[in-house]
Amino acid sequence: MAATVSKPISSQETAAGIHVSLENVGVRYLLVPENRRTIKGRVLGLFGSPSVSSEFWALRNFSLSVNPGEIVGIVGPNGSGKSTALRVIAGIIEPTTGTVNIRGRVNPLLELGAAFNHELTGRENAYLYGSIYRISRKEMDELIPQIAAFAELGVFFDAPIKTYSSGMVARLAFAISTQIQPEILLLDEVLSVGDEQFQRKSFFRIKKLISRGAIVFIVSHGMGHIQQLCNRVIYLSKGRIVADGKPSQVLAQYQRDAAAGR
Amino acid sequence: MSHQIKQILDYREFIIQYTLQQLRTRYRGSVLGFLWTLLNPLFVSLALTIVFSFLNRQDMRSFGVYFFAGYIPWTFFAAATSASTMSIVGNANYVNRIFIPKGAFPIVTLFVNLLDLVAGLAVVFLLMLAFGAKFSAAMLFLPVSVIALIILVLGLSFLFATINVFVRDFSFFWASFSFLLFFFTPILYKLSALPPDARRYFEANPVLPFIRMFQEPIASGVVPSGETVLLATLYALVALVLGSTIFFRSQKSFYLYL
Repeated sequence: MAATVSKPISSQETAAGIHVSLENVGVRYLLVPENRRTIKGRVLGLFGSPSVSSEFWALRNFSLSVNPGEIVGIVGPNGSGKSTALRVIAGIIEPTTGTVNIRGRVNPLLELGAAFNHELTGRENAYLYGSIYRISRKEMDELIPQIAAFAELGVFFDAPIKTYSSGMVARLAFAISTQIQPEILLLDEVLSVGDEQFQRKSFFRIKKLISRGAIVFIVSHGMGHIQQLCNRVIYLSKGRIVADGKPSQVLAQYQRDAAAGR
Repeated sequence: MSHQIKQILDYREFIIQYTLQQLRTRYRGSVLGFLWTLLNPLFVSLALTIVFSFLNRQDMRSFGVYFFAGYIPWTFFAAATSASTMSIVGNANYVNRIFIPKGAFPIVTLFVNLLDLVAGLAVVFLLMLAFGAKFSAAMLFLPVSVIALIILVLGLSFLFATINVFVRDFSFFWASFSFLLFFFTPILYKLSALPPDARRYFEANPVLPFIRMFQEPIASGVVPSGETVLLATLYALVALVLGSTIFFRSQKSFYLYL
């Protein structure tokens, strides 16, 4: 099956309406033994154990259709494919099987702040991120004061990121990601960082994006956040969708399974 | 392929910003900062020039200019291609976590190193002034030489970045091999100093025409021969087509190995 990905981030395309649909998506990882990465390992591998690497499906038969206004929480145990699903939606990974159709500007960044350059200041990193979102320097000049204000970094905005606390890094990342007003927002384990007051501010901002017709995906282990924010929850296990529906029902099922040790 | 190129062009702002960021962090905290880009080739070249003018018993001035004319483009070639082997592996953080056309990274690495070439050529001109060497009209050919070299390096960068994703030995191999290749390229000596039988083999070196395109206008004041230019063009285009094709075909599976 051919894997086609319509590339997300063009503002002309978005006029047609924001939408995310994945059909029968499968993502296969090859577990390449570390010693096969080098020439020596490859040559030795010709003689010793069988050279076939074992494969691992991080996602299997993953189908999903999401409309504007939906805040989709993705839950599941570690290694169930949550982050892989976000990577497919962001266009970072092309699925091994199935089709992906994304209409709307995606924030192409997961694990907020993971790609910050810690030698550079918050301001300099903001400009770099702006260019990742394909926002011109000029437009960025206008957004910067709002980002600085929302992140509440004060004078630290012009200090290298290595001097920040982890909460400050998360605040800056969240401020940048939401200030550019993505139409499809992907959040991977971000809401647990930051104090309560900042969390409330973030929730408010997510709701505001939604009211403008955006789509939000949230991956989190914090059941409270998912319950509070989401209007739809997907429960993943071993790369497959176990349940997809109302937060209260799906979360209850997930917690029952977790308690049963499944 | 055209789709891939269009995508990379769409991200030109990122390429510019990321290049500037890399350059900014390179000299952060040093007192002389950007000046080191000029001082490095100056020191190395001066030291080598002095030593080799004794050994060769040649006029230090003419040998110095000849040596620089080849050494500067060589340094760029060696440094840029070596750095390119890490351009995907070293940016795994970005490649795996953010949607950016992957082809942007080898281009950024090339741009970062390009500054050294420009600074190095400026040093060559300064030394020519200091030595009282003649500036000939043939030097107007140099922009063509630079473009040919850039195309070659870009093509090899795509190729090397890809190879190193799958086989991590490659960056070590290339660092050693390019050092070896330096001694088999007439930079420290002249091709005419070799016995005619050996010359044939040295002339088969695919990097040689590119180096000649710098040596001849700068040191001899002549425009490179049609044969040299043709060979360089051919090698550069082959490298670019081959390198980018292999890169674009395999980029889908990079995430499996990063």
